[in-house]
Amino acid sequence: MERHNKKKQFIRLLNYGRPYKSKLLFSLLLMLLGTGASLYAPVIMKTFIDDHVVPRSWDSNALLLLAIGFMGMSLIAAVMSWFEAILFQKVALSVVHDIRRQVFNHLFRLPMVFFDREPVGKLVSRVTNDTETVRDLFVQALPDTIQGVVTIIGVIIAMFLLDVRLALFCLGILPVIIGCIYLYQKYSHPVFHASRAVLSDINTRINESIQGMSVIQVLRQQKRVSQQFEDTCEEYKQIQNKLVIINGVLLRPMVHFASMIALALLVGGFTGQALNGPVEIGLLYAFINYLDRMFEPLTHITMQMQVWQQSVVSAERVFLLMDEPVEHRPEHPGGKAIQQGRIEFRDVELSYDGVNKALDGISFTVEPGQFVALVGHTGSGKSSIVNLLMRFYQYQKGSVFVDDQPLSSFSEKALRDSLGLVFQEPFVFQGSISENIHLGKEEISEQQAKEAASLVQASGFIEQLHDGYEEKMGERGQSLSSGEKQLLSFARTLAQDPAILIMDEATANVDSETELAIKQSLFTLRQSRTTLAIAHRLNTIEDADLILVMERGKIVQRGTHESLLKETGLYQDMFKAQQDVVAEETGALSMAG
Amino acid sequence: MSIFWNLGWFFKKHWLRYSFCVLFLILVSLAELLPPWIIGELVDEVQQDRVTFAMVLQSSLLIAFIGLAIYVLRNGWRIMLFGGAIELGRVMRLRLFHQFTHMSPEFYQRHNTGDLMAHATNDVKAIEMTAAEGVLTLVDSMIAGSAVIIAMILVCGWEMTVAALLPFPVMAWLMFTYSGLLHSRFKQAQEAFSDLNNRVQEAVSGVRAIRAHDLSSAQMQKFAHQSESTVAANMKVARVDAMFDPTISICVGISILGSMGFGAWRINSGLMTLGELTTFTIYLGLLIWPMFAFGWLFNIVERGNASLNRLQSLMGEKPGVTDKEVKATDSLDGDIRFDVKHFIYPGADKLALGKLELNLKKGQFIGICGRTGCGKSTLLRLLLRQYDDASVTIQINGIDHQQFSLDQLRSRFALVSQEPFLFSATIAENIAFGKPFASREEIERVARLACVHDDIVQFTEGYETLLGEKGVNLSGGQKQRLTIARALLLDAEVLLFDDAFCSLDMQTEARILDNLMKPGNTKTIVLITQRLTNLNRANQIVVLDDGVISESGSHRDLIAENGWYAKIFNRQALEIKASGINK
Repeated sequence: MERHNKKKQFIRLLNYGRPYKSKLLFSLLLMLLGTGASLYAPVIMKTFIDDHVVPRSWDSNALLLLAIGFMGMSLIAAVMSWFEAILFQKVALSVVHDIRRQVFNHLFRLPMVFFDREPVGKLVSRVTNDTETVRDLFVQALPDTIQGVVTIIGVIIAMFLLDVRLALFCLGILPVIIGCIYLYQKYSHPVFHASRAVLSDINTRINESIQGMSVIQVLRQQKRVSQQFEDTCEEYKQIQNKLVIINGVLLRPMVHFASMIALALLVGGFTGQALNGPVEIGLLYAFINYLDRMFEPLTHITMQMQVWQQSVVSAERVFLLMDEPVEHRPEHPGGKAIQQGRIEFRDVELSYDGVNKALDGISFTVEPGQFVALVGHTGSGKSSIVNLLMRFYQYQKGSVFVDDQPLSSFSEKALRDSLGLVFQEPFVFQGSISENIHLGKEEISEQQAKEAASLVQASGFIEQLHDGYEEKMGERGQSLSSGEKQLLSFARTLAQDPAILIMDEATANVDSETELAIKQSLFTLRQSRTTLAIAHRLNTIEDADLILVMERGKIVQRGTHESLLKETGLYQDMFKAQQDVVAEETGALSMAG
Repeated sequence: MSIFWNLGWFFKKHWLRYSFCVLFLILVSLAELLPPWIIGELVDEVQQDRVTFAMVLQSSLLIAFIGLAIYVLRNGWRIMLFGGAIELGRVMRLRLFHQFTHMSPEFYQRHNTGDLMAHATNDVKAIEMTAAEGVLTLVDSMIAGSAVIIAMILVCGWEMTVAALLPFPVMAWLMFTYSGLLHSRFKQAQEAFSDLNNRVQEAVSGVRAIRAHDLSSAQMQKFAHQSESTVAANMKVARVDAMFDPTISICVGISILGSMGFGAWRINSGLMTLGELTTFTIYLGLLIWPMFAFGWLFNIVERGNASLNRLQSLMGEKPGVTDKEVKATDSLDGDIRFDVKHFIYPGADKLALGKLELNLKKGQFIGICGRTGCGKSTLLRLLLRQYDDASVTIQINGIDHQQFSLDQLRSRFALVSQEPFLFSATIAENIAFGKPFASREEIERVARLACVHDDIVQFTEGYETLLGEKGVNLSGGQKQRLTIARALLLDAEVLLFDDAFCSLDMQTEARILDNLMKPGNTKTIVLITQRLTNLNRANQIVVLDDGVISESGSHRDLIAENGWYAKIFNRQALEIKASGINK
């Protein structure tokens, strides 16, 4: 079963070479020609020795012909082998390029739930490291093995063509070598496996110790951790030494030993013939030459077995990711755009796990140009509403309309262009500040990007950067403060000019100056568009047209700030709580006074 | 070649091993010269029809025996040489790790994890390779190469040898050039791959933003572009790599043609026999590897040198904090006094702390708060001597804390940092990380104190649940409570919480604090926090602003002062009460 699966994965992997079939066949042809030429050269030398050197016949024309022939064969072999290698490498790298693109592009078709489940590091490793292992197969193991097999078969054919008896004599050693290689595979495989595992253990330990060194030091465990590391290193050393022995006893020196035995057999067989009658010395020359070429590929092929096995394991992991079911996404090429910005939820129900309802019977309408706020504690379902509207998740019941059309009827592009989402923790891409605002969209000019930045008061900090708008952002904009990131994301959203603004209010503590800038920018952003905001602070939503109070996935209250205050319920409690606290503190103050 | 000098200490230490290794290598080189000579002799016998059965048998057996001898000798030098390299790798890894354990946080700020990892893996590997293949190529290119050439001269004379070897210097030079090119292009290919890796990293971690801004196709294009660059970089490697075999085959071809032609002429002139020519051409084949090794040698050495230099500069770094002259062994129990003139982090240009005096009374609960970057955590780092500075005096029980050994000093404190760091081990092992021989009862007791016991027993494997990459993923709050439990198990006199409750809700924070402040508690608790709501029970509250104390006193004092503390406390109280009622 396991074996069968491996075979299936391997065939699937090889299928990626299909588009390059003609190139592959051509490179195989070159390989055959090159190998043929290189195997023919010793025959020319044999002719030279047997027909000219031994009988001492020096016909200059014939000699010139032989010299040209010999050099010609060497040249053909060299040129063919170079072109064949380049061509094959090109195909191999293209195949890996195809696999990489396919798996990377697949990531963007997966539902968002998938990314909640899988750690980032693991996914990155699938797209890069695992495909890199597959690369080793295509650029190294595969061509080496094919070349090796072609050479070995070529040598055997050449030997038999030259002298069947001698060929049988020399090749008698082959079964012994194959036996050794079999033993090598059998004994090295588990040791290789263990060695990889221990090495990965060592690397994990180093990595963890570097990252957690201050913890180790504060807990005063340096000695113990060092001792553990030493033990692992010792174990690694033992395994490595074992591999050296296995490699030596069964592989490289063994194959060399076998070739010496073959040489001894050849010499014995050849001179034995000489006891009975005349022999051709050139034949011995050619055979020695062939023996030399036959044993090297054997070691090579055996060494590549490790790569084969690893790459099939990696390919399996890559395919597993490729086979993740994609999200069904409606595509309407000529789809309409969102213009008014009207949002309507009708009796919407959502569950992430199929058991607990994250949203339950949600109905509300946001008229064009309105400002609607969602309040409630963590886990009450505010973010789920935003996630549904962004089509990050699919709801199970009810319907969502935008501009009176079902949400699902909009194309991905129309939806993304019209919904401007401001994240609680804005993501900063690698690239310049300016690129981070226009996001590479052609419809936004550099000038517009700058205007947007100055409208949301981001130009202040940007212009103070060394390279201003061209300042390169490192990994996730580490050089920016959270307030600055927030302003940058406002500029990004304003430049996009969406019909609907969706925002998740930031909770991070920022200094008072930035906080003021953020408040004013928000006001600018909200002008002339529909806004749906998740609010964490009550004082930012007093001017909302509608406030939806959420609790356990349901809307428990709705109204304006004024109307909600008049109702008994959660919102009033919240407001009362404010007053209580103020009273308490005033009391504390007066007591202290 | 300076690397062999720099690694001299290792070769000296293992001189016997390396002596045998070189001896075996020389013996192999010599033994390999014999079979071609035997064959040559036989060819002449055959030609002169003097061959006998005994001769045939003798030659064959001799060749087989030489093969066996070479087999044994080869295994011998492989075990010596590769074993030595493996040992060197082990020693380097241990030294590096040892160095890591002695470095203070400042070191880890200057070097990022990725770089340090690269030193511990790639550089150690490169040095290992120098010690193995570097020695091998050095010995083989010098000794084996000369042995073959000498044998050629002995068998066929110098004229023949010179004529045949004309293409070889060219070949050696080409090999050298190719391997240099190969190395630099390979590096470029690796850089392209690392860029590809970064691109994927960004795409996966920013997947939400990419979806929200409809950047998928832009990302795909960028990726395709980057992937094409790696293909191009790899093709450049392939173009050089593909040059080796053709170059060898052409050079050797010319050499064979030359020696055959010259040899035939000499045979015709009676200066040489056919057997000698046969021996000679086989020797030519034996010369390929030493030439190849010669080309490799320089590159291996160059790579090893660069790696060794990097490692040595890393291992030469002195720890920022060391044990001073340890005088005091008195009790560390007592008040802690900070007297800071000013403090700047090494390499920074901004003051982290200004003039500041602070007294932490034994057994009290002290709260330290203030804006991000105001210097709260710096106080703890100085207290634990993660940094030493002449303008900072900290006294414990009236004694300068630099007079204690680091080990002694740190044994009195239990620190919980803001970012919970756990190891790839079981939950129990993680809690007991600072006290490895703690009993299960002790572990469970602190887990209960840290309000994490109930979470732990929810897992099917309970305390034996494995954490980390191969294990389960904990929530931020669970991780934080585990690190609290880990600190509590130390039973240290002073508990230091550096914003250690930030991922926990109010109630849990309060429960943990209740557990710690049970009557009879003698421990000093220092709580650094952004959330002020639990500070009303503190004996003393200190507000830091820009590295100096801006407010100080009891909760009531500070509310009365109506400054930063009062403002933030009120705002947070509002929010918390609001969501509290919500629940």
